[in-house]
Amino acid sequence: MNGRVRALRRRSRCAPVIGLASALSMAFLLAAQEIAPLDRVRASFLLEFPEFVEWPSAAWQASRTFQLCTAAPNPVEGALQDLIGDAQVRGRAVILRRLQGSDDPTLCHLLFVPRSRTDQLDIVRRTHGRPVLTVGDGDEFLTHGGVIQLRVVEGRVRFAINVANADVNGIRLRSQLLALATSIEGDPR
Amino acid sequence: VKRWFDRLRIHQKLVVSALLITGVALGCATAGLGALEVWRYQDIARDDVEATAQMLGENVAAAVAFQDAAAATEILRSLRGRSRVTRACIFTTDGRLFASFEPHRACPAQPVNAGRFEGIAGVSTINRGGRSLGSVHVESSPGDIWERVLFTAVTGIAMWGIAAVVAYGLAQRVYRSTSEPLMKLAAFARDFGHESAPDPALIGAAPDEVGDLVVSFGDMVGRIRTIQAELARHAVQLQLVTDAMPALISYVGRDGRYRFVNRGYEEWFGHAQHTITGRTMHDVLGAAAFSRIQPYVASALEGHSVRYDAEVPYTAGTRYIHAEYVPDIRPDGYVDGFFALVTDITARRQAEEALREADRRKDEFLAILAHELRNPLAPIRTGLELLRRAGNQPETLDRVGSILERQVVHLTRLVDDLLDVSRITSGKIALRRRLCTLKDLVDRAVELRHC
Repeated sequence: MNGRVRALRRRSRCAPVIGLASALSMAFLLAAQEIAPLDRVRASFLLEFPEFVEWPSAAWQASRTFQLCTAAPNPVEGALQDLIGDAQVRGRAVILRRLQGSDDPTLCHLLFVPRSRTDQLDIVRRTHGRPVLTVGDGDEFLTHGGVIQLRVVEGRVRFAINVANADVNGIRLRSQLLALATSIEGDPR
Repeated sequence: VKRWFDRLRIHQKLVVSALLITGVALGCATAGLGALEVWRYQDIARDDVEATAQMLGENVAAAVAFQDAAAATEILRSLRGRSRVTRACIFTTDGRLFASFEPHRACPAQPVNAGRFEGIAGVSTINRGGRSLGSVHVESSPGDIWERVLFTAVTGIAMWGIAAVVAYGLAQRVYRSTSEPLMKLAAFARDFGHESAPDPALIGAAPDEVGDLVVSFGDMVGRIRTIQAELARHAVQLQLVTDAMPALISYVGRDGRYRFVNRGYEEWFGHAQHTITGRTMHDVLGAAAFSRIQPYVASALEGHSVRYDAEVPYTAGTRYIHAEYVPDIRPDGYVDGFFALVTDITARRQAEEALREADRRKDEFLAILAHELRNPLAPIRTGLELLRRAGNQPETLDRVGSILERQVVHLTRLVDDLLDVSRITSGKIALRRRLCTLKDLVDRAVELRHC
C-alpha cells in the first residue's frame, strides 16, 4: 500500500521534486507505522469513491472544496490524513473534518460513519434527502439509510451499496462502482 | 545467363523477355501490394488494439481503484471473442501485475515497453480523476497477415502464369509474322549463295535467325561478287573482240543514245570511245548522216531486223556502208534498243566500179577488133573471085596477088598486135624502158611501113 501511495505522489509531481517526495513519503511511512493495512485501504477507498459518484450541482454551492467528514474518531482518519496531503478529488482540494456532536452533516460531500459512532441511525437520518454520500463500516449501516457499507471479505476490503438510499440523497453512482459491489441492495428493479 | 540468352531463337527470346518483364512488373506490384497490405493491416490492427486498450483502461479503472483484481480479470475476459488477442495485462503504477488475460502468452511480472511486446501491442494508462492508477497492455498476434501476403503472392504468381501464356502466344504470332519471312529470305539467300564459301567473319555473328540471315546474305554477297567479276571479265572480252573487228559494233538504246560502242567509232568519227557512250546518234553521226539512216533506226526500234546498204554523208566524209540492225526485244515485247553492225563497203564498191569499166572497155575493144579483122577479108574475098575469073591473065594475077598479099600482111599484123596486147594484159611481156633517139624510131616505123 505504501508503494502505491508513493507512486501516486510521484505521478502528480514534477520530476525535480522526486527526491523531496521520497523524503516526505519516508516521513509519512515512519508516522503511519501504527496504522493497520486494512484501514489504509479503507482510507484510499474513501478517496476513490467520489470519482465514481455524481453529486447534484447544488451540492457544490456551499463549498468549492470537497468536504470529507468523519463522524467519530477512528483509525481510518489517521490513514486519510496521511493520504490526503495535497491530493485532489474531482479537481477539488480535500478538506478533512471531524463532525462534533451537533455539527450539520449535510454540509459534507462524503460522510464516513465508523462503527464506533453509537448514534449511526440518527446521523444518517439527518443526511436523508441531502446530497451526502454516506459510507460506513457498521453491520446495519445500509438498513440505517447508508449508501455504501465497507466490508472485509476474505481478508480484503470490499463494499456493498444501497442504491435506494443513494437515490433518496440525490446522488448517482456510476455503473463501474456498482459492478464492483459485493452486493447491491434497494435495487428499484 | 547472357550466353544462354544469346543462343535462343528470336521467338524464344521474345517469350523470355516478356516473362522477365511481366515477372519483374508483377513482382514489384505484388511486393508493393503485399507491403501495403501488411502496412494497412498493421495500421488497422494497431488502431484496433489501441482502441481496445483504451476501452479496457476506462472499464477497469474502478476495479483497479478498488483493488478488485477479480473484477478486472472478469473485464479482461471480455476479450475471449477476439481470437487474435494473445494477452492483456494490467499493471499498477507501482509496477505490479494486477490482472491478466493470457489465452496464448503469459504476462510479464513487470510492465515492459510496448515495443518489447511481440506482434501488435497497445497500451493505455488507467486514469481516474486525472491520476494514473496503472496501465493496460493488450497484445495481438499478426494473425492471418501472412496468409494475406501469401494470397497476394499466389495471386501475383497466377497473374504471371496468365501473362506467360499470353506472352507465349504473342511470341508465336510475332514469330510467324517476323521470323518466318526472315527465315524464308535467309533460305533464298542461302540457295543463291550456296556455291560460295561462307565468310568466316560472319559465322557465329548471332546464334539466332538474324545470325542465319547474316550468314546467308554473306554467302549471297560472295556469290554476287563472283558473278560481278565474271561479268566484268566478259565485258572486257566483249570489248576486246568487238574492238578487233573491222566494223562498227554498237548498242543503241531506245532513247537513241549509244550504250556500247567498239573502237571502230573512235577511228571513224575521231571521238574517244568512252566519250561516245551516252551521246545520241544524231550528235555523233551528224545531222545529214542521221537523217539518211533515221528510217532504218525507227524500223529497228519497232522490232524489225534491218539490213541495208547506203551512202551516208558523215561529217568526217561520205562512206558507203552495209548496216545490220538487230532489235533487242524483251520477253514482254518491249524493244529496249538494237545492236548495230556497220561495215564500210566503199572500197568494194570502187573495185566493182573498176571491174565494170574494164569489162565495158573489153567489149568495145572486141567490137573494134572484129571490125578491123573483118576489113581485110572483103578485098581477100574479092581477089579470090577475080582469080577464079581471070584465068591465065598474068597482069591480073599479079595485081590480085599483090592485093591479097597486102591484105594478109595487114591481117597478120592485126593478129600479132592482138597477141601482143594479150601478152601485155596477162603480164607476159615486160616493157623495158630505155633512152633512144626519135630519128631511129621514125626510120624504123617508115621501114616497117614500106616493106
